[in-house]
Amino acid sequence: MSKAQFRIGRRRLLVLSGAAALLQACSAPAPRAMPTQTTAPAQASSSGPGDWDKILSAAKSEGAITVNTFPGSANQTALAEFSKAYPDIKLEQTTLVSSALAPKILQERQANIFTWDVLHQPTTTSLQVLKPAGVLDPIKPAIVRPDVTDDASWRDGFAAGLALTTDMQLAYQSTLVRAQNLMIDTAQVGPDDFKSAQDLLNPKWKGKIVCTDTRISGSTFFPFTLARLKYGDDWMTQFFQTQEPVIINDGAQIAQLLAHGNYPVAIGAIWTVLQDFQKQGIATTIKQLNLPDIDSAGPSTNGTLWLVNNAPHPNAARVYINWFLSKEGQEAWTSITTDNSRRTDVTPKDDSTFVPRGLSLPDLNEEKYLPEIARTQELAKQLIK
Amino acid sequence: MASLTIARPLPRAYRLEPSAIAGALLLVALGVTVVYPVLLIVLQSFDVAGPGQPHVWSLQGWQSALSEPLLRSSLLNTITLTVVKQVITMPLAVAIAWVLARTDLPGGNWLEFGFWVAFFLPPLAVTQSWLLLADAHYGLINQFLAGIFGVRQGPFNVYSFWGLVWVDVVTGAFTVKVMLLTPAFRHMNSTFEEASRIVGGGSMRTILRITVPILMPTILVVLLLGMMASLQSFEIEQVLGTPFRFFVFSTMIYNLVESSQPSYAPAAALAIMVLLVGLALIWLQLRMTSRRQFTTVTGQFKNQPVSLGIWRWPLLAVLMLIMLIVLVTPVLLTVAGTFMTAFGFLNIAHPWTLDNWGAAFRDPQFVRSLTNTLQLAFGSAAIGLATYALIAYIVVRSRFAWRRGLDLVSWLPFTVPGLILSLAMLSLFLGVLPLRPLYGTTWVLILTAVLTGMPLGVQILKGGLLQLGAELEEASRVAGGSWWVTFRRILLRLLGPSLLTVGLIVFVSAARNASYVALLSTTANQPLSMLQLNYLAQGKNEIASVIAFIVTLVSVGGACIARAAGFRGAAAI
Repeated sequence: MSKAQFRIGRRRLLVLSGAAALLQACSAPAPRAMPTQTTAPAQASSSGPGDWDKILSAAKSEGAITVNTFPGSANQTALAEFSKAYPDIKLEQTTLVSSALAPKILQERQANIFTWDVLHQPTTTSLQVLKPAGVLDPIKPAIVRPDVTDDASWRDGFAAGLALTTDMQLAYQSTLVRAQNLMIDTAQVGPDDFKSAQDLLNPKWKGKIVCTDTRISGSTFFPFTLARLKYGDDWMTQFFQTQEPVIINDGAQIAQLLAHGNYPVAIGAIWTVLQDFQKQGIATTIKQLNLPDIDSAGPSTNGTLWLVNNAPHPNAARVYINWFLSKEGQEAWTSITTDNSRRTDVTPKDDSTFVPRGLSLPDLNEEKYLPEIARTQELAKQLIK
Repeated sequence: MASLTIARPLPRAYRLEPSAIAGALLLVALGVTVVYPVLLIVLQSFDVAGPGQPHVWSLQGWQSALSEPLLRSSLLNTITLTVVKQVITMPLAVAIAWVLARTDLPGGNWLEFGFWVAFFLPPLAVTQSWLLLADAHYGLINQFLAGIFGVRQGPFNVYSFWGLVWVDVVTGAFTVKVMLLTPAFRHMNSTFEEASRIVGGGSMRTILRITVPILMPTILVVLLLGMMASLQSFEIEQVLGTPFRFFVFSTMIYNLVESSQPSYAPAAALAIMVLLVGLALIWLQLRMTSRRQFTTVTGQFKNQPVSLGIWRWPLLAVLMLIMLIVLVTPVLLTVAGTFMTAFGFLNIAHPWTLDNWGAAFRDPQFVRSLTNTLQLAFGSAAIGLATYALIAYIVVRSRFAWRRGLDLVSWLPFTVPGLILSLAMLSLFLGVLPLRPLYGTTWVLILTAVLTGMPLGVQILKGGLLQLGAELEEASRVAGGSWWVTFRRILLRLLGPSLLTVGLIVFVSAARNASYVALLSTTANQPLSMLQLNYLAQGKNEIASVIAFIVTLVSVGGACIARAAGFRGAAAI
């Protein structure tokens, strides 16, 4: 047999080597089972000053904390106050919305990368996506300062802030705002035109209502869930098929259109954008409207705190959480973001979203409403064509 | 009697060609960085478990995708929009490229530069400009015309199919084609056209029967790139299409992924459908161009401009009008937006302010984002150019056995919708161990920008190489030049305009792209495009306009450098 027959072509050898290298490079560790949600630990006994000193000392040794909020320069300015209060703990703030945070945090954790310590997150994605994936730890054991756990410091008591989740452990609600979902242009809408959600089905408003996408946006799927619970699925069917609303995903864009007078009725416009316009003397005829059958209240977008499982800086996380929920923290936060704190010793900053004492409104952020919200989103998917 | 001995061929000397080594290494690299993410997307389409949950393999994702209520209408809308845009932009771009590159039109170089700058404008900023002009209720053009004719409402409505087509065309679908076709037309040998005229062919006949067929590879590539880009186009369709319920594939995918309970399996299934359409188009293009010669630059290359005669000034006027629409108007409105107190409102007490610029510069993220953007843009352009040139050379000039596979793989990033690709890239950088140290650094963004720019970069350089006759390199080698000397002193110089165009496109795309970087950016490596998005999300359109304008300035700065280098390079040929 000639030598040529025993020679492996170098080109072929290169290709085989390349294929072997490719297989090697692609061999990532098998996906680990996500850590299952631990059962809530027994309620920690109230901590003395000595315990807090130990936590603070450990936090300073850790030297850093990573927190996520929604985008907003006000959020960043407000949390800069934490750095002033605790200069030894470097605050790293990310500003990811839920749809960007969820895949990042899940994929990082699969790769054994743990970036975040604390999240300021709305509840829906947190409960539908993060909780089942074991991303969250109970926050209640981390709240230890007596001035924070004091019932007198909080509207309806300290424990009311834990009511978003059924286990009363997972998240803490620091703010309380009345939903600002429905806005009308009083130059085009009469004072008696809207008394209930049924008036949204009036043929007079066909093609004249602009709203965010009910499949995605809480500013619409919350009130629509309440309408559906009161009037049945037919309400939504009528709304989408007969009223032909204009759907725009961007609440800021809706605010612009409302301010320009394009539409008399809007659901889901960003109220702070309209407030900025009104300071300039624009959109002065735009008013918020709370219809009694779809009126609700709950935390503001960044008002709910969540503690991340396997946080890289657990003690710094506890210091941050307790600072944020303290009078100083809530004062710093609400003064800059114009949120309304649940703390009784912090004055409300926005009268338009303040929930009067004695007014009891449903909170669609609570975990018990999740199945109904999912049903609303599914129905919207069928109806939006 | 002498016996006959059958002659046996001498054993062939096996020689390891550098192109084979380079080709194999590139294939491995692309296999990891391109094929692997695409395979992940395919797998994702069969995994119906919730995010972060243990895998559950099922066909339910495909069933959900195929039973989506909007599937049929979105498919039809996507195809309609794609066809209409290409029918409008392609002939126009070919005509303009011919005028700019092959005639004695005065100011042709400046007009060409104008098309480059028009391409640099961020699509969202341009969309906002046209909203300001053509919104049915408050658009400035509508208000003006309604006032003149005494009617309640003007005739234009940007929230309509034709409004969508218009904005898509003027935001880049058209200008990028002019950018890509002009260098190819410039490389056209005049002797072909002269031969046509000698036998009695007029200008139009020469263009249609000589020029266009010779440049068919480039034209087909540009057409294909335009169609692929249109299939994936998202931002403008999301802003303008959703309000009147004009849904396309990309907005369908967005709705599935952006939900509070994301449905990745059906979203991946829809992305695979787009990918399959893309692969079919690519196969068609490869087949149409594989068996013909398209050499235009030979040893006897001559570039003699065609005289326009009496058509000079009318054509110049038409092109100036086009410049007014695609460049001047959006730039003026974007700049105006940076000084508006409230974007779009001019009838208030103090409509103008400098505060937006102050707010942008005072943002603690601004300087870091600007630095990141410059690193990202220059890094992507440099690495991208080197990579694309190497791939194009191997595909066109080498005998590497798997060069067709390399060519096909280089197309893949363009066949996957941006949102799904960004999820796959996140998996890539976290899942492949050697790449994990890059996660969280600017290198992640650079590599992503290089990968996403690869289809366009490789194909344009391929088109340029196909135009170059082999005898030019052979002459160099005969004269004693090594491969590197030939590559550097002959090929790179002749390819100069194409290289500059590709480098600039990668530079600009890296500087302004947000969709690919959204999941990969962190506070540390965040570029200006993410800062702009954050401001838009807060409704601070005025500050977002400032950021958009600064991104444009960065891009124009890069273009000026490249253009200056390009002029020197062109003069040397």
